[in-house]
Amino acid sequence: MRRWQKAALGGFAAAGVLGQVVDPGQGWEAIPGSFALFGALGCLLLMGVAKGLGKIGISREPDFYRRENERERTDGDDGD
Amino acid sequence: MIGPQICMLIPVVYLFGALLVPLIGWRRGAAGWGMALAAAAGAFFFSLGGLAGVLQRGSLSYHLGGWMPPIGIEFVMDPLSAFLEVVITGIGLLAVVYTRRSVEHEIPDRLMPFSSLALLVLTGLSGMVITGDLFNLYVFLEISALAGYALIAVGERPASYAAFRYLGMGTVGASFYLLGLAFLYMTLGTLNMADLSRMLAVTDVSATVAVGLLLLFMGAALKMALFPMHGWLPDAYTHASSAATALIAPIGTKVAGYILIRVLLYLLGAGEKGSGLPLLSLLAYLGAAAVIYGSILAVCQSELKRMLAYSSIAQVGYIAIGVGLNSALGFTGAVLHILNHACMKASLFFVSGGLRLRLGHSRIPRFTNALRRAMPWSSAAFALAALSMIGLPPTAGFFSKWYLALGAIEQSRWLFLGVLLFSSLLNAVYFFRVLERMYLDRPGIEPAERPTSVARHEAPPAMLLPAVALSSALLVIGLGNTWIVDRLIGPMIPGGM
Amino acid sequence: MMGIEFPPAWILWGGTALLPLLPRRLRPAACCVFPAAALALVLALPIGASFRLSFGPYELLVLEFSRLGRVFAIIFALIATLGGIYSLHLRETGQQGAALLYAGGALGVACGGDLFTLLFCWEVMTAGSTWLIWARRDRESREAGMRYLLYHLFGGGLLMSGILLHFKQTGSLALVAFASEAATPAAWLILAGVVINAAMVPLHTWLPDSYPRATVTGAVFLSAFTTKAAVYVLAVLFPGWPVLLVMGTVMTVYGVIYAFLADDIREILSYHIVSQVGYMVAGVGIGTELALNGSAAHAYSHILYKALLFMGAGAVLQATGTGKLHRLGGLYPELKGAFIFYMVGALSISGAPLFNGFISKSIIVYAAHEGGHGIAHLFLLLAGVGTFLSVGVKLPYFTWFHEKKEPLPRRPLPGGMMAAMALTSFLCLAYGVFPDALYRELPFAMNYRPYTALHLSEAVQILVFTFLAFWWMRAKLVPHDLISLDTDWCFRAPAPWVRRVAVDGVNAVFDAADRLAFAFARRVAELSVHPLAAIRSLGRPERPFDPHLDRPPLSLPIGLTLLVTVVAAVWVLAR
Repeated sequence: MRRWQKAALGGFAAAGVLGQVVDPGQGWEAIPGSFALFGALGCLLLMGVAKGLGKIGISREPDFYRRENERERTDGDDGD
Repeated sequence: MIGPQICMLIPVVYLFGALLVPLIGWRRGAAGWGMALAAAAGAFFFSLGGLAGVLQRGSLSYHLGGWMPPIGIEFVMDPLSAFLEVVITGIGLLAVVYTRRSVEHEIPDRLMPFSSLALLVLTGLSGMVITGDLFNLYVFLEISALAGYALIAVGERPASYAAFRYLGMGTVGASFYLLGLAFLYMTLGTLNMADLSRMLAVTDVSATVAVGLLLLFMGAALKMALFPMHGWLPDAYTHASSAATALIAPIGTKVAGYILIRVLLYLLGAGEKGSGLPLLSLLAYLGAAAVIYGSILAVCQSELKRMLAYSSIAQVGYIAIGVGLNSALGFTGAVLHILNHACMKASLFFVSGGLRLRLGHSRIPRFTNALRRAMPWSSAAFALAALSMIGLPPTAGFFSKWYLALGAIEQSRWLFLGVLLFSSLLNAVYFFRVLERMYLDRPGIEPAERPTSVARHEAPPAMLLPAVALSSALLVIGLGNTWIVDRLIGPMIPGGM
Repeated sequence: MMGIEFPPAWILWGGTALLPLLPRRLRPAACCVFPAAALALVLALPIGASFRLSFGPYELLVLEFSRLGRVFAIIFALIATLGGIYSLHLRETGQQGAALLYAGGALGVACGGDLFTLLFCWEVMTAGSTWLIWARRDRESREAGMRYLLYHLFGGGLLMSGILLHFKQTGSLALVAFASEAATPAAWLILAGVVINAAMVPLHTWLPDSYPRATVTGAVFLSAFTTKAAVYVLAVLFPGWPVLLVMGTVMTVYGVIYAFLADDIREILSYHIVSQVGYMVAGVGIGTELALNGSAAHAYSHILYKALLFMGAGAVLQATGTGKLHRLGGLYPELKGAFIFYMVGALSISGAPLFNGFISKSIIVYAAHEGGHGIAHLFLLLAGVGTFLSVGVKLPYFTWFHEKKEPLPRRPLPGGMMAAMALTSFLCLAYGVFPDALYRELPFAMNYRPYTALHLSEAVQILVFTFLAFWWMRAKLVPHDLISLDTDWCFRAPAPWVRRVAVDGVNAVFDAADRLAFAFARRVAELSVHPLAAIRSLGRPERPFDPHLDRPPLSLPIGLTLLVTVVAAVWVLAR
């Protein structure tokens, strides 16, 4: 990342935390930087949960269903 | 102006037409066909007049030969009969229009006998709904049946075999009907419908009468192809020529249904008296079985005509359910479905005949979406009729199912409601299979290989116009269904509902 | 003003009917004009306008203009216009007509006044939307479209059953909210039918299954109507039902988790539809005036920015021919316009300040907080994190940046697409900067102020630190060519077995019956004609099955008839 991009990010981060100092919320929202922590940890948590679910079997090869349904419907004999 | 003679005129016009066709068409089949067309048009005109007369003045009654009933034969045109006559003669007229080109293609040189037989079938069918005497009904039943066997046999090689099977089963059915009549005559001494209903209202239903009615029921049910007496229908409809199927399929089984309606709801009296015998429940349950059986088997078919035949078995089930519900809503749904199904099935069979003419086959796996470009009007008519069969508003099919559903809900009979909804899904499956092939591309065909321009090779107008007219009529019937229900079906609801 | 009061849906349906009659070159323009006319009518109709239609003994209220309905009607008509501009390059009348039909159905739902109109428009929406999926005409979209159709016919069937039952019990078709404490089976049936269209977990799989497989232009329309019309109906009929709060919250997080695993860019966006609709459903579940305002406002904003996102993703698909993240990459300098407009949508959906997501999503989050639903509040915030993660960071990074993986074509983008994206971006920004323009239209009075220091800091911190967390882990997050199994595994995996049993099985049973009956008949015939020959033939194998020769003998159906007669006679006589 270029310098100016890092500086911009840092500036936004600082402004964000400052805003929470100026106008605190209730409960845990009153702590400055709580949203930042929530954002970072929440992001890592979501990524972890998603990857974990993928590993236990949700992520499969793209033709998972096609393999099962591979037999094209053959023209059946007439019934009755 | 419109006297009671009109009752008699309609079968007579067909009968005389049928007898004149061979005379006129001896040399040139097309001349005979012209006579048939004139007869069909005349009969349709008379039946419209009859309907108008009945709506204005109530039922018309005509005594054949001036003999008084119950000894003499009486012809009665009440609102139900008038309505069904219009359906029969209307479909008959369109089928005769359709006949010429279709027969020329499929069974050349047989146009004259075909026209004559078609008129005979229509004689029988139109006579059945208008007669007021049960034995006379049997006579007309046999006329239509025998002519029908012959009509079906005039076709490709397997047609004769299918006609023979139909003959075997049909004779069994007619014999049951006659036997039932015999029992009724033995105990009650009369076969005139009005008389019978008066006598049944005051006497208890003895075992003989009950068995007689049951045999009558079974005979009519067999002719109606109600499950499990449907065995003759798939082969007969599939192997008969397209024109024969288009004539018989929409109206033949419905007239047998009319027999059931007349006997079970009018003669026995609906409401409390009718429910003394479990015939109506039997009818409803067999109807439900027919719906499921017909729909499932239709899904399995790969030939279009056979699929439509099994679909007809299912649709007959709907009518049976409607009658068996024994309520005004069910009755309305059943009669409306008779009209709707006649239009839908006729249109579908017209289109399938057109496909056979242009493609040489009607096997579903071999349809490609070139059809959509080569035969756009036929495809559109088919699609509209298919949407109506599935029951999508505002086509006519939705409204008859709506009434049937309301009838089932009114009596809290959830089995029938479930059957109705499930079968709609199945209808969607088997019709969308065809529509999908007609309208969407097949996989594995690269875009470059797809034919960029497919020549327009639509069915000839004589075959296309009846299909398009009926499919458009489905929209009209759908949008105007309230008028039909109030003005036409309302007066015919049997007393006691 | 004009004194003309009729349902705006009729303008769009009239457009569908007229479209084949217009000259081919004018049809794309007509697809912008008709929705614009409908929008004009919607803006002109006064609140409380109504239009009745006789239907037999019933009188239908096909138009009943409420404040809530007006908000939805405005945005439906607006997005139909923008979608029409996006599709100006389209030459296929079927798709254009289907889009108008579909949009008309949604307008009909928003403006309708009774349950029958609702049902009718619901089915029309199903028809139009199914065509837009099938219109792509490849094998995957055919199959996905079939599943979509069956799903929606099923949902429509539930809705119809519920309405019929409700009508039988109360005799009324009016749109009156159901109380959650006195829930009748009819209400549950209607709820079931509506939540299928709202893509509520676990009945949501039709959405990520079919939207990515629709056409480039069709997906823009699809993203706007079905789910939001369902949200409208939920807000009218089921406000305050606790089950909606619970399921809505589940939807928000479920959607972001599956979105993170998805490889197709439009599938990511589709799972985010599930997630964002979860916010709206949760808002309806909370039920307070603020929450309902929030659901309506969020639906309004969501339609705009989700359409914009689909427009951007559609542009990538149109230009490169693929929508799979594992194949895309390094597009930046060339598809710059699409990138910029896409990022506007992405920042909107993530709730960045100055964009319209910020002013609408936060209402619902705040209402959850206000109503004391602490856990729901937490989950909704978490879902916001996940939203920015997938849509705002992961998708654009791996599409436009990262590395080029394979050479991809670069087809030019039609001008209509860029114009539509620019207009929609402008609207997203405009509402973000002037929230009162939207708040004025909301059904209830609005005291909420989005631009407070707390809200701003919340949004900025979450966005910055989510980005940082992604950036730190980005090497481990490279997309792979995989699909995710969702709850539709339940019916898709057993499908081949079901087919084997229900179709092939039935055929096999009848074939076997045919064979047995024929064999029996043949034996009996031989025995009676030539007894000696029959005995000799016992060792001979049968010849292969021939459908014409091996039909059941006539005795089979006749026998069945006799059987039924005897059974019925016994039943009748026993009475």
